[in-house]
Amino acid sequence: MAEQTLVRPARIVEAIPFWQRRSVRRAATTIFATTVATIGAVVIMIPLLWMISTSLKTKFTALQLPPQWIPRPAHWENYPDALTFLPFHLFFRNTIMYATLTAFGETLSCSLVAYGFARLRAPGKNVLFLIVLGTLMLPYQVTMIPQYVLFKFLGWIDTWKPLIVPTFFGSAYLIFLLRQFYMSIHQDIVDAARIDGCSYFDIWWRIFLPLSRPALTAVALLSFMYHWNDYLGPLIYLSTTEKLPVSVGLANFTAAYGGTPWHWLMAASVTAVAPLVVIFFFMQRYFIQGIVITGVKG
Amino acid sequence: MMDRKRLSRREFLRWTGIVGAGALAAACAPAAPAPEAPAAEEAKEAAKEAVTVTWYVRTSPEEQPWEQEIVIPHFEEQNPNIKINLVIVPWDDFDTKMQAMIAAGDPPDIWSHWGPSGFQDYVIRGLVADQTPFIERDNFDLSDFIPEVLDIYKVDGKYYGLPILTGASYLFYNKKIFDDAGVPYPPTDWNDESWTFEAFLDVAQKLTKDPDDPTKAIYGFHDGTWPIDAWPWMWGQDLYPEEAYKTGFPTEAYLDSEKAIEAIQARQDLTFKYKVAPSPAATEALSAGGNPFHTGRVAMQAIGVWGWWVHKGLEEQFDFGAAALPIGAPGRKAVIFTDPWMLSSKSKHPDEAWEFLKFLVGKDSQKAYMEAVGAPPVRKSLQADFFNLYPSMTPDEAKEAFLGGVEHGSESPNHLLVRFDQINNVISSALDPVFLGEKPAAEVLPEADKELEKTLAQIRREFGQ
Repeated sequence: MAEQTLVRPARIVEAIPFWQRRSVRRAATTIFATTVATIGAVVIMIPLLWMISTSLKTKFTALQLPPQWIPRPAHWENYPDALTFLPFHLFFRNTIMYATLTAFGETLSCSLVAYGFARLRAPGKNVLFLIVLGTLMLPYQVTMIPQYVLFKFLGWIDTWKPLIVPTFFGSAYLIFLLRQFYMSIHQDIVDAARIDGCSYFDIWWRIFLPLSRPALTAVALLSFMYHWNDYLGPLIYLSTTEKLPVSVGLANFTAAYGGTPWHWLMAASVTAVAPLVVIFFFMQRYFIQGIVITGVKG
Repeated sequence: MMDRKRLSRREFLRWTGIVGAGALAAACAPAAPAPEAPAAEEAKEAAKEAVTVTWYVRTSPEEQPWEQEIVIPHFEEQNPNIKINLVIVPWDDFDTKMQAMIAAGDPPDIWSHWGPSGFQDYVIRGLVADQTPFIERDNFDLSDFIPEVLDIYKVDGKYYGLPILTGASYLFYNKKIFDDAGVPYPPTDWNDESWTFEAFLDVAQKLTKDPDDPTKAIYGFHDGTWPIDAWPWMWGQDLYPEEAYKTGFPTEAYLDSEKAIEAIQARQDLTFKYKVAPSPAATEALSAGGNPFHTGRVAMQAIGVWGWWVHKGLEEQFDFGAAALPIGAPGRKAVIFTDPWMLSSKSKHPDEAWEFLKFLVGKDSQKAYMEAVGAPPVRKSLQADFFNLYPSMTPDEAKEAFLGGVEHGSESPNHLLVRFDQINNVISSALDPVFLGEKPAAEVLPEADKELEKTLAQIRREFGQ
């Protein structure tokens, strides 16, 4: 035994060709993976780079072929021009308010409703759940006009209310997502809480909410992203320019007959995308973790 | 007991938190609409009974400053009892939002056909008011309007729309490319009978260079016309019977006629046989940032009236001119596009809305519109100014080309046929194989004509015609 151990190292190093050495293979894998990832990243970055590049051109140089990737001179004035041509500071304020409030409302309401569907027993609960899921099948275009008429009746047209208030009553997709997560919480914990005297509401508040933090973060982020980009809802309900969100504000740069000022549109788009990139950069750990946990892709 | 009590106090605190957050949310929600209140009060101070007129327009970086900085301030200053509520909607969603507003009993008061629907679509749905009683009541002077243009939106002799802008389809050309190749410019005279399709093709061939290398190519021609009717019209062939443009409902289609086939084949040949026009893929690349003509790689472009405003300012890059469309066959027609202001038949304040419409078609607003947008005016007294807007054309050149087109044209079917959006989709997808170079026109058009007639019959049925 002792002899064998002593002899081994030298022999093995000689016996294995260099390309089979662990360190070499590891390095090769790393180089290969990095190359593939870099190529992928470049391909994905091209539209973003095009956006940034176009945002620094003039209306006519934006169209030149072949495109000039690094515009000289760089027209930085496109940014202030585009952002003041329409009141973008108001659009940003509106979007931030809209996305934050709706994300809060949806997370709160969906979590409570999902808890009910996951853990409480009631006659017809499954039928009710199917109805909730059924609302997913209805395209927005179908419900849009009846909803509009309803909100008109309430006098809510050209306000943010029709867009925000309904989110405090849940969203079928997020309810479904959270329900699946809640079903995986062990019954023993719930039973223990019952024995300790928790009410059903307590169980949700003290057991489910803390345990589902990653899932809730994912839900809140999904909801935030969705409402940040939401276009049709604000377009239909809002008319006053000062009340518009960024999504509709950007569409206001488009013009019929190819008259769209691309350099401005891109400058405004870069500005609109920037906050999302920053949020994703800092939150990606939660975002990806949450999606992995809930087993659903966004 | 102690435990339970402490618990519920904590619970109480938590509940307060939740309710508080909810209240905060509720308080924030109406934060946006708040500024409306003072504005409304100001209006009340200005006049006891301020009435709001909703003006529904498309998004456009050129039109918005005209609307917001010129029209509305001037109008409200002159009419302190009328407030204008400007609603700006992107083209794609123009009809969607309008439909929602109509369903909710809150239709826009003044609008133009700046979405997928055309004038006739709105008229047939009973959404457009007859403006004749107002015109007669106020003795509104129409003598300055081009008479033929004024007639386009008359229904049974009544005015259903007063025009904002008009113009035909033209052949715009890049003077630099012509000069470099030493080729004479195309004629501005629409009566010049030597300007046949063959003559045009010859010029296009002389100007085309390296059509297969998209990074270097100069194309002799790009087709920017719309709708497809523009091509048969150049051959003097209509796609529908004459009276269809009055009733809105074609009873048959002539897509399979000899002239139509010849015209569509000619368009295919420009790309695939003579290679003077960019291929579909090259067109896509050239259009990535907007209009292919602006890239400076297209010598001639046939395009609707909007050429006059999308090309405005292009002199910064190169000089350009406007010319007559070539004559495919005798009887060549150009497609005219005229936009009218319509007054809603469901308006709650028709008198105030008419007041505003009258202001919009007034000479001052029209002049400001022409200057802001570059759109050709409908008032005779403004035409001289319009022909001066293009530094690389002499006023006479611009005038001859422009007026010749109007003289040799008819209003576009998309404004005069009901559901043209649907009709156009059917034709476009049926003709795809031709314009992708897969099949000759003679093989595709008879089939396409049958399909088109089926669609026309279905539309007629739907409207009980």
